[in-house]
Amino acid sequence: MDNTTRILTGLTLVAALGAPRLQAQVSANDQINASARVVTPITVTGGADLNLGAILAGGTNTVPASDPNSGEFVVTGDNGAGIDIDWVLPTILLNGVNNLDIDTYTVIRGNAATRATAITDNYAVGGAQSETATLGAGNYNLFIGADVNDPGAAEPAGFYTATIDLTVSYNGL
Amino acid sequence: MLRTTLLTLCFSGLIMAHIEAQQVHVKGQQDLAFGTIFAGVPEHVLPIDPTRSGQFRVRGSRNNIFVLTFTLPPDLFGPGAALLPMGFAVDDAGIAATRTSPQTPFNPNNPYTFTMPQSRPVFVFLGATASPSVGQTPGDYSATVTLTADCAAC
Repeated sequence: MDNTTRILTGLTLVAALGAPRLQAQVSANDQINASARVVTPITVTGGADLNLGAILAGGTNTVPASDPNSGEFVVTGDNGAGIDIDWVLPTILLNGVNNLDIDTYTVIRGNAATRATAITDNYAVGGAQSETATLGAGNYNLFIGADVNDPGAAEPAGFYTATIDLTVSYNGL
Repeated sequence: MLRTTLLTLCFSGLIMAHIEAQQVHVKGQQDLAFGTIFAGVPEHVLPIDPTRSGQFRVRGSRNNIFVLTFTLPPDLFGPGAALLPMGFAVDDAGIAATRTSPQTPFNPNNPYTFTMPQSRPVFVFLGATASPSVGQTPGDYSATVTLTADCAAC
């Protein structure tokens, strides 16, 4: 073997033994993350019925949201979470086949459990009845009042009722 | 001289080919994501879930036998060292030729042996169940899942 052969042979062996592919792996691993965001389920509880009281023919009756007879809902959930508030507000009160028309609703709401919270919403019957809000550290309270139209002299006497539905959900989830 | 050099080149080629045949690579492709879950409500992510299952790609030489082993945390870690229990059912892992082809399920709690197919690589999928308690601390939780592939017969 002359010098040239020796050099070529040496270079070839170096190339073979020193090649990156010679760093063989018979075991390998990698990682991924597992993740979750936990939120507290929202609860909505009807705290008090909206009591419009006795209504006389020829007049109207208004119970403001600040009135002790206003209806109340209590919402709980994660502190600081954004929520969507959606009302289903009846347009009439029913007594069998007879009904009373409701004119407007008023809502006051906030983190205080009193009927003097800062935010006020006014809803015409049939209009948009959705809001957004942010939950605080405690309960979120909503108080609802209503205005009933003049029943008229022909309106049969009796007990008229309807159901107010409130749906609250986290927004952005 | 030329004959010697050619022989040496052939020899080095054999060495390189042999060593390459023993290589194995594992690459995480997608995190295992439960998303938003509610305290008190368990959430199960299936291994066939295309967007939430954990996914790895495993490369190796055709027809070699590999053993897959997961390192699975029992909990996710959250705010203030809160723990969110996480469990893995016997069919919460799957292996498939592509990310969308039918999976062969297996138990992620035990080592799983398979032969690398002609159509390498393979994809490995992982599902799990997170079980938040009713009073689970709200917030973000996470942990690390490791997949190790060992060549059992290369």
